Amino acid sequence: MLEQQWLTIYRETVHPLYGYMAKRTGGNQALTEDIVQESYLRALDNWKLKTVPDTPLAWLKRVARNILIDYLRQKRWDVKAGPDFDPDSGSRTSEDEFESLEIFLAITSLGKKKARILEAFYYEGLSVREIAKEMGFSERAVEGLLRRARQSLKSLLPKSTSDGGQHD
Amino acid sequence: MTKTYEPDSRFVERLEWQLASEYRRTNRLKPAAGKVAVPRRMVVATLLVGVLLTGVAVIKAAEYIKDSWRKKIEVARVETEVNLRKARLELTREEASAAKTRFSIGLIQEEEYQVIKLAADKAALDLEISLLNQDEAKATGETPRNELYAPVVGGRDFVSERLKIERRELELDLAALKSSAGRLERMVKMGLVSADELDQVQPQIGSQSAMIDKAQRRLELRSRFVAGKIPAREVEISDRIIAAESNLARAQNLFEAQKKRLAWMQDREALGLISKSWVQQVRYGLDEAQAELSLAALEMDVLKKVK
Repeated sequence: MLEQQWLTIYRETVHPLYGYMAKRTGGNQALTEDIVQESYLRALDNWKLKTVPDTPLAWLKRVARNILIDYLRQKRWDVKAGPDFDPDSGSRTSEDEFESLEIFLAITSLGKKKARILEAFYYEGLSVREIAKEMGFSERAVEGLLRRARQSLKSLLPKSTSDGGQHD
Repeated sequence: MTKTYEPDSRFVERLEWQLASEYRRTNRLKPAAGKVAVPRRMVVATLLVGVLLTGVAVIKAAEYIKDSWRKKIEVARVETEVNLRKARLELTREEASAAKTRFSIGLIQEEEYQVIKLAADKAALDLEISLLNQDEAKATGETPRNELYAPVVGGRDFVSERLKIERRELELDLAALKSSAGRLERMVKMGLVSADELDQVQPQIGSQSAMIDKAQRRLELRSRFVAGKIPAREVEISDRIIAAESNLARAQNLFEAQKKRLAWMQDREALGLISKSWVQQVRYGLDEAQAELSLAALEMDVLKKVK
């Protein structure tokens, strides 16, 4: 991989990758920036040993998503603990962001198919028809899956979050 | 609260700089073939600690300045090229306008006017290419890339855009050659020039058509690459095959033309109209065309085997 090729990939993917991640972190700038940076560093390590994947953006999104899941699980994200606040760092995870991360973590624990459908519908704004086309299902099947996925998600989240209410 | 899903421009710039530095750093530290990578990297990393402690900030700042200057220099270079080509276009257009007047009052022949007009038309296309180069350099900060497997820049396919202009330039040349052949044909009919002169233009028309065909095929290859239908390696080999086929067609054209010319010269020699040395000269030309044809055929064979 040539330096020029590397930088071209970066310039073409940084905006969509950032948008993809920011939606999942609820717009938490510091966390999004850290994950985007880490994804590119992993890409550099990985691609210098192998070849550049055919769709670099898809590769980067997958890695960024996994980093976020690892991060949340490693922190043993406790939905009862409330928003994270570190007075020394001067940065704060707002309640909105906390809820977004909580929802994202819950989505990822639903199983591959349901998680994909919810992410495509809510984060990427795809229509039922587009999701059906992408996954090779009928629109009716997607609607059914979406309904069941919503119910599963609701059962995983604390009542306040699933109702759109505030934390105690 | 309104959420923003767009990155901060300072973050994008800082990360780009960091990734470029990281890329260069990892390339500098590549282990030599046959050696164990990890210990070597550890040794290098240990050595680097000293450098990092003493002057990493200075080095990084210098690299940043260097990169920034390189970008500025590249953009300045293409901007100068654009200005030069604008000046050249203006000049050639003035010349074409003056030539048109001279031709209309019979001071110059049509052929001379057409040559000057063609130069002006080609200068306009050269300027279009320079403007594309300028846009690309501004977008990337690098020298514009013209390989068929070069990436698309910010959704814009500069390589195809340049290829289309190059094809138009070749088409202009072809039109000029055909026009010249038409004039010669009329003059041959009137007995003003010999048929030999017309015969010399025909292979040039053939070669020019082959070059247009080559440009078209390269455009199609590029579009397949951009659509993600073929990988870069295949593009490179196919591009070489296209070039080799074009060379072969040109060599065949030349060979046939030389053969025809030799027969014509031999007839004249038999009638005692020209000397033996003229015929010998054409025979050498035929030998050269034969050698070029064999070489082009050999190149085609090799490339097909590689593919």
